[in-house]
Order: sequence, then C-alpha cells, then structure tokens
Amino acid sequence: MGSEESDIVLIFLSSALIAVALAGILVAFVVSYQKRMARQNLKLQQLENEKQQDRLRATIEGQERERERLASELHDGIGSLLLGLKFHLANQQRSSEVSPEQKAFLIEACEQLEKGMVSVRRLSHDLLPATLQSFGLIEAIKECLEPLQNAGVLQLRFECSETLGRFPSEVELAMLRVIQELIQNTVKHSQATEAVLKLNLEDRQLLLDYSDNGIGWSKNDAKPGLGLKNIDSRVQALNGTFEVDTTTNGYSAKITLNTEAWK
Amino acid sequence: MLWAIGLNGVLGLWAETQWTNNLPFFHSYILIEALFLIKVFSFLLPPIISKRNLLIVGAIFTLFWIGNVLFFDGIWANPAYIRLAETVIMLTLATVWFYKVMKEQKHLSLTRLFSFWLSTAVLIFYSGNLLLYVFNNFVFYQARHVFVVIWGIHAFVSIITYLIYTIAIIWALKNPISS
Repeated sequence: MGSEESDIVLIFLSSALIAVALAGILVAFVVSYQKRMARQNLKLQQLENEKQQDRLRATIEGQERERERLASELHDGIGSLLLGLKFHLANQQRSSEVSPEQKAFLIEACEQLEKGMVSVRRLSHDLLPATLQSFGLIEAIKECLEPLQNAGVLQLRFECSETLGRFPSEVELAMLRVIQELIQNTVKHSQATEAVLKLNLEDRQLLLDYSDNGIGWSKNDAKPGLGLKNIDSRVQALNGTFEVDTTTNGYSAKITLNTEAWK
Repeated sequence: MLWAIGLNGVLGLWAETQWTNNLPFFHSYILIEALFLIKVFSFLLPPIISKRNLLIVGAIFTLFWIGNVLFFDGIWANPAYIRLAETVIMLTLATVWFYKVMKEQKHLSLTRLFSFWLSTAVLIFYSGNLLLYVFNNFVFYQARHVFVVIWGIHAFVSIITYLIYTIAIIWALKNPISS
C-alpha cells in the first residue's frame, strides 16, 4: 500500500473512531446526566415529603392545642358556671318562700343542669383524655370502648399484645384519635354489629388492625370523608401507612407505624 | 418491514450469483431500512417531533429515493446520495431522542430501555460511517485493497451496531410497555 493509500485508510479509520468515540461520549453524558437529575429529583421529593409531614404535624398539633383549650374552657369555665347555677337553684329550692309548683320546677331544673354538667364533663374528657396522659394508650382505648360496649350498640373486641408499653405522647394521642375516628365511622355509617380492634408490636412496627362486619366502603361509592382524611393525615404525620381493604365484606383498615422513627 | 428487509437481503445474495451487479437490492434495502427506522422513531419521539411530521419526512425521503434512482445515481450505481440523506436523517432522529430524554427526565434507568440502545446503535452506526458515505464515490474508485480496508471499517462498525441492536431487542422483550 502506497503512502497516499495509507493516508486515505488512516483518515477513514481515525474519522470512524473519532465519530464513534464522540457518539459514545454523548451517550455516556446523557446517561450520567439523567442519573444525576434522577437523584436530585428524588432528593427534592424527599424534602417535599418531609415538609408536608412537618405541615401535617403542625396542623395536628394546632388542632390538639385548640382541643386542650376548649377542654379547659368547658371544664373550668362552663362546668363551673353550671355547678354554681345548680347550687343557686338548690338553695332556692330549700327556701320556705317557694311554692310546691316552683319547687318542682327547681328540682327539674337541677336535674337538667346535672345532665348538662355530665355532658360537659364527658365532652371535656373526650377533647383531652386524661387517662391517656396518666395511664397510656391501652387504658385510654379501653375507656373509650366501655360506653359503647355497655350501651350494646356495638360488640367491640379489643386485643393487644402484653408487651406494648408506652409510646411518645404524640403517637399515643394520634393512635387514640384514629381509633376514635374508626369506631365513629362504624357506628355512624357501617350498620355493623361487631368490630375487632387489634394492637400489636411486631418487628419494631406498631400494627393496628381494625375491622367490622358492616356494609363496608367502596372507593367507587363516594369520596373519603373528613374522618378518613384525618386518619390519613395523622398516620402520614407519623410516617406510617394506612391501608383500607375494600375487597372483603365489611370494613377493614390497617395502620403500620415504624417505632424506629421515634428514637 | 423486517420480513421485507430479510427477503431483500436474500434476493440480493441470489442476484449476486446471477449477475455481477446486485446494487438495485441495495437501493431497495436503504429505502426499507430508512422507512423502518422512521416508523420506530415515530413511536419514540412524540411530542418533540409528531408522528405526522415523521410521516412527512418518510414521504420526502421516498420521493428523494425515487428521484435518485431515476435521475441521480441510478438503480445500477452505488447509492451515495440517498445513503448520505439517510445518514443525516438518522443522526438527527437519534440526537433528538437523546435530547427528549434529557428534557423529560422521566426514566430512572436509561440503560434498561429498548429505545436507548436503539438510538445508541443508530448514532454509532451512522456517525461511524458518515465520512464513508460522504466520500462513497471517492472510495469506490480507489484501489481494491484500499476499498476492502475502508469497507472493513464499515463492517466493524456494523458488528458493534448489531450487537447493540441485540441488547435493544433483549430489553424490548423484558420491558415491552416502558420502552
């Protein structure tokens, strides 16, 4: 091969190699750029999720503070007023200047006041469950279920593992609210006669399983109400998962919280 | 279209045994190959380039092919012009695909996509052979041993391309929807 022919071959060979190398560099650049952007997007998504959780937590904390304030107002303010009024009416009742009809009226008024005071105490207690703070989640759940079981409205079975113990106060409060909401949904909407609530600790996860034998809820029927959205928000704020099973008869929900996240 | 390419190849080989010049089958191969790749890219490139626009590109290429056969190179000559036109179109389409992927940032792992490997193969094949297609007629009239070496480079690039096509097909079979 002459030198000119060699030059021609060399030009074609080097141009082919350079072109293929450039193409390879372009491809490698695109792949690495894509990976970098994917990592960045993932980071942004994580930050966004954290922000949302913080927002949820702040909203829930605000709600609980408001409930605390209302509970305090009800108990100390309205409760005291009603008690004062009751004493006043009771005193009037004992007066010799009061006619029998007026006495009967005063007795009935005191009874109505007593009922009002019981309602206010119950409302105040529901807003700020003292049992939760003092004795923990299990006792608070039992206290919550007792009136329903006594009234015979719903057969509620509560099962929990022996080694449950205490959890951070915000977790216990959130779980109590979630359980209250689930039970309320069953009582109001499901037409169920039985419900089962299970609370267990497995593999560093707090598992709440709830089910009833009612008419259930289909995602196609209606948009989730405020109650379900509240449950979702509370569980999200604790970085947990909330699953609803609409395939079986009745309604069942499963909440999973990772206990490692609380340390 | 794949069957057409296969049949064209078989006929081309048969024609070589019958006559000295089987270049008409090379002309038809280029047309079928280009239209096939344009059809494939018409699924991958929207919305950057719409299917309608790619259809127009295919139609213009076909008209140019007909014109080249009738008026420029002719059916019995080496299809230099049409090969060059095909190279420009394919390099553009492959580059546009990479641009689209960078813009959309939809896929986490590009190397698992059939379209990635296809575009890489097209980019490597046509860029590696670009100078050859530009100076096709020049090469044609060189001494035989020079001709053989230069087309040997083409053969090497073709082998790389078909290996990458194979990877593309494997990923197409694994992920038929996301590709």
